[in-house]
Amino acid sequence: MPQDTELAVRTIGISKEFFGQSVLEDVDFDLRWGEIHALLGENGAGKSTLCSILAGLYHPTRGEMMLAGAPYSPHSPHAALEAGVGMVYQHFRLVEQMTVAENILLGNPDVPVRMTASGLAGRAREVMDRHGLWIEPTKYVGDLAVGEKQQAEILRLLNRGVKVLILDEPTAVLTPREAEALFAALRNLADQGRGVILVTHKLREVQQSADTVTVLRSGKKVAHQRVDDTTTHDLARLMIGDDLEPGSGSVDASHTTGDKLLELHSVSVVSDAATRPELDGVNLTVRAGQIVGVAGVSGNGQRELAEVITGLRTTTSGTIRLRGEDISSQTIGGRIKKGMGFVPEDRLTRGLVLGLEIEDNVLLRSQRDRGFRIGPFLRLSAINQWARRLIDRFDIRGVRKGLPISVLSGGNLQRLILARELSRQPALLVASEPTRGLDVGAAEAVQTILKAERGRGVGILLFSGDLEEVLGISDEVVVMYEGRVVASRPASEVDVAQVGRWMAGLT
Amino acid sequence: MTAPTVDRAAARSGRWHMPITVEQRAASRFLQQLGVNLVALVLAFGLGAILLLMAGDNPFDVYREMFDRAFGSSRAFRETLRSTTPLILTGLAVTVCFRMGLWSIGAEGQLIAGSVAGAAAALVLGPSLPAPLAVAAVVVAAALGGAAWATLAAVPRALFGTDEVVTTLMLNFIALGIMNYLIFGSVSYWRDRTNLGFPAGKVIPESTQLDPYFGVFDAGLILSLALALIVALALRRTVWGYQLRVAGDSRAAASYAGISATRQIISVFAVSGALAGVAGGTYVMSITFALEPRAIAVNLGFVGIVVAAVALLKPLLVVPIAFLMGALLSIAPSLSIFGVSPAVVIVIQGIILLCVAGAQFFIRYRVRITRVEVGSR
Repeated sequence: MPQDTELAVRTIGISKEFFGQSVLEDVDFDLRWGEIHALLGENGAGKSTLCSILAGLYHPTRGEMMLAGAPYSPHSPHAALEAGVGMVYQHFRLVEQMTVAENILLGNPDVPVRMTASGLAGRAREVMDRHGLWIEPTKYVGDLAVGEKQQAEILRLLNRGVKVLILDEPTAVLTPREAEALFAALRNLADQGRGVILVTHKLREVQQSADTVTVLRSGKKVAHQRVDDTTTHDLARLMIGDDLEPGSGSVDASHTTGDKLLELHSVSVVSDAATRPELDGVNLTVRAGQIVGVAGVSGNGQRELAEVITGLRTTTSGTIRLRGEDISSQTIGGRIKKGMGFVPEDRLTRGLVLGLEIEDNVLLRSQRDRGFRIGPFLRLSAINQWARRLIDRFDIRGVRKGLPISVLSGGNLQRLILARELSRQPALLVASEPTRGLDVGAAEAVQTILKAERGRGVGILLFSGDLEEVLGISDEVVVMYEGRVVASRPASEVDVAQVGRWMAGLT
Repeated sequence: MTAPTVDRAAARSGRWHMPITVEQRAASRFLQQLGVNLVALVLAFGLGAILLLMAGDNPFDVYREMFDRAFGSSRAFRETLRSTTPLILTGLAVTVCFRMGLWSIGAEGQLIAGSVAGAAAALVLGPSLPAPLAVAAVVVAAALGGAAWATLAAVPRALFGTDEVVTTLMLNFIALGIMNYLIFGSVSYWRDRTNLGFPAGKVIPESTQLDPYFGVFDAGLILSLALALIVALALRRTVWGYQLRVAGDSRAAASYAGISATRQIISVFAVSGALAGVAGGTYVMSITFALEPRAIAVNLGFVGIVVAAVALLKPLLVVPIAFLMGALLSIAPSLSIFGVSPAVVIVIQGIILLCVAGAQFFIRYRVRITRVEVGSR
């Protein structure tokens, strides 16, 4: 292993902007040979962007990089790989229809054009022996478990002579036992002198397996420490930030006295018996005129919870009641009729039909409504009038007759979804990430709409990755971790640090 | 929502530059789309001219002759109209499926199924029913036959996600095989048993033979025009059409709106199959007058794909495009008399499809030639 300097990778003042929006600001990052370096941060903190720059996928807007003491500016992932920097993405770059050996040796210039299957397997075994990882080389990748696929991916990179290995959220898809095996393998690679970067938002993993940790928050580096010198509590605070006011939102007691609207009783979702359940015995209540905010690091069951309540996903066990009536096995249409509004997380692919016009979009989810049809025929003039009313009332700008709504800006699209869902006068509104990606003004407008609806007695279940938002407008805060509700408190009784610890799976 | 992509390598090197910028259009207007496609059509005939030149023909003479033989006399015009009818219907059948993102290429097989069912209805009911009722019975039977054949592909697609491209293609061959068997391989109900020469289909009773010349318009053409109007209205103004358009644009949005994918897929396939089936039924009633495999299996279903694509999946545009394609088809046989291979027509059709498919790029993207300072970085 060539070790020209002590540092494997050094970035100096790396910044990255997408369409004028800053994603990384002036980040200095050092990776030593032989260490496992955790890159910690919330979703959107800039971890993946930094790694993608190192791996040659993006080019930094400003800043310089060094690899083993020499200037380094890869113009493509291929160039990065040639230079010895390889990245294991969350979605593996493997050919499922080929064997492990073929995948490992794929694209290797040293492998002759013609080679027998046993010859390939032999070459693959050499690679595995050298690195202390083992997967049956003749197996097809499509037949492997996720953990094995990941190891095949790592082997593929190692076979290309990778000296710096970057792993993007590698444990997100692994069972605890697979994760342990992965960390043992990574430790072995680091001991051989390689530099390993581990992208994660799980504090426990940092403590267990990393030597050093760099914490990013909103695109800036906020800490770089030896793991032994920190505690998980410190890291949680660094990651989430401690400059937020404790639950200042809504202390108005009248908001919490409404009738029970939505009740979940030990709701579980298990899609694959081999992995942990997506939802594990969730209990939850939303009352009329109340905003219940769900906090959690993304991927801890929030999406599944929203889907199971709105009917996009079925429960494995447990009951969901809306206004006292069991709706667990109701269709989506049935739930809409019972008064459920839903602002989905994927607003562009699910919440709207971008290729169609505004009339078609205000009709979405109401197409069977008596007001908009006579038998099988649509009442186009009624729909058209309705669209114009919503445009006025919710100040949706940029609509052009005869053009699809894809011409609207993000804030206007989100207002359109809200307008549509609220126009049905729902009893309950499930809102997933209603302000994500919006600028401050547009986000405030959306929050104002939500608060106004609460004032009118609508029960709102708010999912948001923005902790400030959750604490700012919710009456009740629910924290999810690994598919379970780990805490449920009035917003006025909790502070950010406490919620941050719950989100990290600590008590 | 424009995402400019500039040729980076060129910009970096400074020496070489490509002064071409490609950017995505936010949205394209209907007239713009139509214009681009008309240019594509002209280009296609231009490329066809090159081909004719290489074959040693004078393209102007050939094109003039083609025009004369398609529209030059009232007889020629009627022939063109008769070829138009089935193409309108198969074009509509393809349009309905493609609008929902169901890539059915089974109109050919569904047309055959419609012909078999329609001919059966004509032979059984024709002698006993008055003409208008008999014709209606044939149309209904043909629609049901086509719909049933389409359902064979629709159910596995809806329930198990089986690739409809493969199933509909294979069902085309099965339908053709069955039709051939009915006439050439067996002494079936459809076969003319009095004819001891070359096997032929039994001629349908006169009550079901459409008088081909209602002035110029034959009854099948009127039916197909009416169906084009109905399909256009159904897409625009019914809940079913709305759900089809939503599902065609985004499956995720459709499920979010509570639209049952299973039901929507099966019903869309059935409607598409019925339209192709009616094409078969009217073809038997106004052109072949019997189940004649070699006259029926002439790729009308496949040409329907070209029609639908060139018509931008707009039901009302299907009519003029089917007319154009119908003209091309009707002159193919007579071209050989003129010394030009009928294959030219097929080649020109292929070129049209390629040009129109290529033109879609210019509908989605705007290409601009920009000035880049040479040597600047």
